[in-house]
Amino acid sequence: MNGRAVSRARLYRTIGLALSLGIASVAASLFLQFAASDGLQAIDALRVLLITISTWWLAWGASQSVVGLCYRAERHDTPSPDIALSSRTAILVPVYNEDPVETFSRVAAMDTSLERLGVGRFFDFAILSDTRDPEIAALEEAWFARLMAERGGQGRFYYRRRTANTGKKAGNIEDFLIHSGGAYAFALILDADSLMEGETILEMARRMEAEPRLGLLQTLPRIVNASSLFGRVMQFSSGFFSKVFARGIALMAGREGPFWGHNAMVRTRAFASSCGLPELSGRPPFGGHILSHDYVEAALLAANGWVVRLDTDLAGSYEEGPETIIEFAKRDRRWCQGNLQHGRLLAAPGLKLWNRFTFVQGMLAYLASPMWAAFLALSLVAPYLAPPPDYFPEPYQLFPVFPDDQTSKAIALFVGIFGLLILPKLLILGRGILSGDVAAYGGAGAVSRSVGVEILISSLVAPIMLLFQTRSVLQVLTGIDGGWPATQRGAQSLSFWDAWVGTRWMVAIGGGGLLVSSYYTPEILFWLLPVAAPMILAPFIVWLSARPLGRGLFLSAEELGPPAILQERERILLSWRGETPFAFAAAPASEMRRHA
Amino acid sequence: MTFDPLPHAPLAMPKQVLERKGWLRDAIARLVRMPLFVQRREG
Repeated sequence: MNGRAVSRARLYRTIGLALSLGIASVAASLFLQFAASDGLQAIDALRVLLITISTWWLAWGASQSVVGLCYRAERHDTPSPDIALSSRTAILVPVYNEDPVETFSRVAAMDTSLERLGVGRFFDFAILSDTRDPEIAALEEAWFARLMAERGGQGRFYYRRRTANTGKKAGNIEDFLIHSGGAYAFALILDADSLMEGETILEMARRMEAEPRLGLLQTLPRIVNASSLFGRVMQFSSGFFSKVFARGIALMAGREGPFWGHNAMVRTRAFASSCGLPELSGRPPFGGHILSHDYVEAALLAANGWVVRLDTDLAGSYEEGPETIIEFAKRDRRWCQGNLQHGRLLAAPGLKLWNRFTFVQGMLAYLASPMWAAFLALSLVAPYLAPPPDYFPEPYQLFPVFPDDQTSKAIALFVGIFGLLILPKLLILGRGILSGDVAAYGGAGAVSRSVGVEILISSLVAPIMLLFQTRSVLQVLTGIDGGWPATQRGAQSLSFWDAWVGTRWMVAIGGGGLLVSSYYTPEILFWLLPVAAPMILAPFIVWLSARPLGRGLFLSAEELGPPAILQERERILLSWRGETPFAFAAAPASEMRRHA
Repeated sequence: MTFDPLPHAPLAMPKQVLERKGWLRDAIARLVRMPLFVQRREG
């Protein structure tokens, strides 16, 4: 990446920061005028501070989309397709108690895709198991033997299981690099649910070869195979909206781009020399192993002079997502703890300023929720604490002075904040219609309907996530370690009882808030309804959103035109389902020999 | 059943330093060494 690209990143950063800070200033000014109408109290100053930071955070997200929309086709340092690949790449598939049929069928599909391109010899697959459950581990071995036999993987496919999963996924990758990293120029880091087209993997290796300072190349994975209402909303968003937001992130980050932990290729020597993660002093949740290791690894690579880049033009990168709000919240709890732990690393020596700012963004992604919650709680009591209006502030005053009605300011602020949430989506829709991109999602009508319903659903889910995230932050700050449990990506069955147990405390908070407001501060009851009503309805929303949804709404490009890799994987999965892997039938797991 | 062992090609992966005690003190020290402050003290 040349100096021009660095200057361009600085320009986009300046635009994004100026835009978001400007919007936050307007919000602060509007709210200050509204709050000061009945006299400025200490509680109002706190509310102004909270809404300024929270609005800035929303505006920052909107700015990313605005920058992303300014995007023009980028040119990357890509070699001519005639130049042959010369480097070897290890495709790393870390697994942790996942269903091996699901995972290994993806490996078989990716290998098939690479073989068809005639470049299979440049790519080895290493399944790095951290599985703790011995029964699943035995299945992994049996299905690995099946995979080897089917794909002729001798000398190209490897399976090893660690006896102790020290350092979790980051430790798993580190263990591979320490023992075998020298055999490969690059490593493609995947998740158990990752799936990538052979063309994409090949193109990434070629870009890595073309730019020797490129230490990490991240793709934007799109969610596939979702079937529940919530899962399909996420899938649609990841396809239709995320690309624009990701472009904004990529343009602002420049050579200090993000690493999202998977569907990314690293230069093994750069990664090994830069990304040995220490254990942090103290106990979890702030000490111990670094949980959200990917952000830190990206920062360390950049600090050591390597380029870390997100190339949003790379298609053919897929993952699966949580199907229910409960599973999403469980994953979010882990990410929350990991991101807040980055507070310890803000002053880490040698990091680039942008990477420190990325840590702050990651923390704010979770701290914004308790800030909104605190703002709402303070707003609930503020009118009660306000002094009674003084109609005769001067002695011997003949006519009363009525306080200024600043309600219009509050309405403007409310509309503005809601606009920050939906305007980027509407702009992306507009651009999609103008550019014709909507054709891949079923046309303008289908996409407009999906965007409209998505905005409605995300408005209903937002207060629920606000409470989940607020609870997560409070748990982390009070020292409760959430651990690092695996997300059940395929978990689609959620009974109403499970939804009720998971969210009944929200019903109490939403209902309690409305009760308190109706008794003490009825003037803000109406304002609380959009937040309190979804909380009261949370069990229904969580339960209903976990139900399967047909393909009428939220059509994704991958559903309308399934990519070859998805079809291949589906074919393999269908042929494997219901089979007993012959090796498993032939030999008990205890007799199988492993190599570490 | 025997699986191929992973290639033996070790890479060094040194632990990075992420925590630094006294960073605030160092930052203040750097600040007061800035020419502006040094000139004021000397002046």
